[in-house]
Amino acid sequence: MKLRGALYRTIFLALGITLSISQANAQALYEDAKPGDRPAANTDEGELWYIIDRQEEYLKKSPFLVRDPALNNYVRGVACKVARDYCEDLRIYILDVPFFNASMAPNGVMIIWTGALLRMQNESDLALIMGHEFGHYKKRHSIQQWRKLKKSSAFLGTFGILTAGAGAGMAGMIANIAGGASMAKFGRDKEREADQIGMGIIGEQHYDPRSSVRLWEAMLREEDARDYGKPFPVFASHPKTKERVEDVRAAAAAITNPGTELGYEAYRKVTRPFLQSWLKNELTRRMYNTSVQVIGDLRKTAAPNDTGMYTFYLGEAYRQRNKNDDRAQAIKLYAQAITEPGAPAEAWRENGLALRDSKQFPEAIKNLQSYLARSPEAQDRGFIESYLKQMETAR
Amino acid sequence: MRKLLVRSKLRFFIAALVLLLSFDSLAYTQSRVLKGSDGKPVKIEGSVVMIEPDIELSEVLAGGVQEPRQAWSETARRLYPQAIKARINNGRIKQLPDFIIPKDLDPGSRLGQVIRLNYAVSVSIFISTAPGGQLATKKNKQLDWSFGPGVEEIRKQTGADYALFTYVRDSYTSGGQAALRVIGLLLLGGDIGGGQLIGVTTLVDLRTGQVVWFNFLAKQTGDLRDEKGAAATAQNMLKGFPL
Repeated sequence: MKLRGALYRTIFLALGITLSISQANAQALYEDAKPGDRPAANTDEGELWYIIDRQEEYLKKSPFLVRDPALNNYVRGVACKVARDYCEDLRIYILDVPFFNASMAPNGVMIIWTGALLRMQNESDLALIMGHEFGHYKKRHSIQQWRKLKKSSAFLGTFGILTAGAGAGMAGMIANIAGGASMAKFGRDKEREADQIGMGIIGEQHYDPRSSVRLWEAMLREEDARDYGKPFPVFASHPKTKERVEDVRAAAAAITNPGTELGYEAYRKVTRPFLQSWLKNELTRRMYNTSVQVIGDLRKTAAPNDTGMYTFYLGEAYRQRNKNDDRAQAIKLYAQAITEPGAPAEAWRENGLALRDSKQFPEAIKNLQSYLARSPEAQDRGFIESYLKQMETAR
Repeated sequence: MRKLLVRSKLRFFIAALVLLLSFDSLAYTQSRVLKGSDGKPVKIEGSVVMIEPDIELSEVLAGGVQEPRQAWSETARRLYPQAIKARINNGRIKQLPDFIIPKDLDPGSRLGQVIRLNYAVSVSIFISTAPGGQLATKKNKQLDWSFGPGVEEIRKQTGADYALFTYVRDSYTSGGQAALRVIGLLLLGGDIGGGQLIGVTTLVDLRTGQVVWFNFLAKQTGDLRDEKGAAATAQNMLKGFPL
């Protein structure tokens, strides 16, 4: 867990300056980035690219980078569909972090977290998110944000000194909040612009816009299920999810002749080998209310061959949350998972252990033996075998 | 309770550090040398390889935002190793050619692990040797950290007996920030600070993995952008180096 905390910090530190808070000078007009563009050295934009280039070197060596060639080739292919002429300017990095996030750095580094890949259900969803991030690149939001930050914090620097000198610490604090809010407002405009670019690409590439709406509706349900860590509205750089659902819905309705392409099979084929590890990582967030919501949502629309996998991890989410009748829910789900296709070996273990708890030894033995048969390399084999022995002698 | 005390002590130390640094030209160093079985600081003998230093220079803009500077950083990455070489390359110690970290380094490789381990160990040494940050297991702030035998990999690749790791972040004040600093001094009678150099360096015995020497440097003056400044910084960074 400590490792994950350290990871988040590293990522936030490494890319913090470039991401999420998009700001712009309302007056200045920025030309779109052109394919193959690279800013001149000795300009502030050039320096920004330089430092991100340096950080990209660390990123390439990161233990958290997902290097699977099939997954990377596929994601890169979708990025190229989305960015077209700009394809060569983008470099995609998949990081194994169990939260919904993607980000765009000024030099063409696009990062997608595996938590986002878990929540997406098809290529259309991936194209939407990548289209949004590409929008930040094309509109050069990073440099706009950087220039705004330089200006606004200069203002705060002056204001802070003057008010502190007069003993008015509170005024300085308010200036800080106001400064933050104005950044957040510009950030939202830029996020909305990026959203529009993303939806534009969905329309052009004939992806099914109904899936985009569904993705954001699921995000809203996840946010509502959260009982802590809700974003403070003044500082949230992204438009409120509720507004976003409305925007996406309107944009989807405005697409004339909407496509029906989902790219469901292609997406499932490359992500399926990772499904179990992503679900496991989802639970390491220890935000079980949202995990119950997310996994429950995904389970409803799961491919028939995967239902057992989702059912089992939904059970795991309940077991780990362990409130009220969660334990009973978990046991019910384990028993169901082993009857469904795609359940992992662990489902038999948990089902067997639950049966052992309720003293149904013959059934428990059958399930635990089935677990060991399905997972011959199981690390807990010794434990399970000792349980089996105890139950067999108890009979 | 004890934790709280340690934390408040550490906070006091950091505040004192900031105050100390507001007097220009003063440098804070936190140098520690490994002691031998006779209780005396060890002296090193053999060859040293400098691992490609991690150096970034930036400009402090009027608002306090630091903007990276590529040209300055590249100059510093060239001048600093030269300045180090000039200081430690004497009769008993031989400095080998610098070890450049391969760009396509496999993250799972032992070398990649050692480089990341250096960051973790350096931070740990800094905190545990700072006033108020003492660990119960390391009394008297003795230097007793080891990378483990995995450093053998660097020895294999370079043939060196010791590896010298370097981390430097340095920033320089722009006109706007200097003006604000004057206003601060006049109005508040205090210093809001200008550019700031932070340097961390460790010397590791590649035969055992033991950290032989550690130094942390914080300084508000100095300049890595020219030879003279690089030499002065190298002198400060090598304070306590067990020659």
